[in-house]
Amino acid sequence: MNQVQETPYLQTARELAEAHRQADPGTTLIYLNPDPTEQEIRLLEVSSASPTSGELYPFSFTARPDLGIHYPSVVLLLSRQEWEDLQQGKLQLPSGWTLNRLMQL
Amino acid sequence: MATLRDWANPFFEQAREDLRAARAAYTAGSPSTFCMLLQMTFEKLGKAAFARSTRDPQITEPPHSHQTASKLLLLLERAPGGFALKGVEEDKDRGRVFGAIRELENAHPDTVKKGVQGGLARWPQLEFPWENPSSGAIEWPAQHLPIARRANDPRERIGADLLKFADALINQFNILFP
Repeated sequence: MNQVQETPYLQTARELAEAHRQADPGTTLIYLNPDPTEQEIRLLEVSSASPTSGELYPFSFTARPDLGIHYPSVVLLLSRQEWEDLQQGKLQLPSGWTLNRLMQL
Repeated sequence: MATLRDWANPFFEQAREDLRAARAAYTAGSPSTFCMLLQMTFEKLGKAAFARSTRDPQITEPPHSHQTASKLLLLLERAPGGFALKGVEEDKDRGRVFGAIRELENAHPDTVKKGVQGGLARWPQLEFPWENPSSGAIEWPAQHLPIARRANDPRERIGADLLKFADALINQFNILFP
């Protein structure tokens, strides 16, 4: 049986997601918004600890090759209410983010 | 037309000014004004950080929310390699400071007003008096705001901890949010 090899991009995304769950135990959902060029890891995260403002600001982090993180990353942090509003069309994702392309991690 | 990043330094500089005033209020023994100015400091630092760290050309203004600081802290926890702010690495210290910052945000009059409109109980707030729903008495921050009372209690260290945290954010701002 052939085993599908994960790309370094996807592996790093999973590592970041796991680290974020450990740092914030209120994290209930993490999705990867895949960058077709695999230049940047974009994570949409839902946390019960996050306040609800209705304002969605993707927050950038630089790559950290010294830690084995070779990709810059962006986190879009949402409260549960904002996530529900997004799914109901009451909120819009920032440009470059697409709901139907999200991949759960 | 200003870009989002153009807002970063002005918000940062105003936060520094607010922090200087907060420190003066703390020294003067005015804990409720100290809390109000600290809330303003953290809110502006949050807005400055989002202005530096959000790279979306369609977003041209910082968030309008008064709860930017607690969101920023949750994001700093997600920095590759762990919480990025040097000097506050201990989880228990961060937990205490984060809780206090959340309390300050929740006491902002606009946040309280939204809570009341949303059917939540009336809440003590920064800056303005309020009616205690149980007793009907009118109360005011200098006397009755819980976090201001704690900041004025010599057995508590929360005022000094919040000042130290704000100092650390300001001193490391350009490294954290290039």
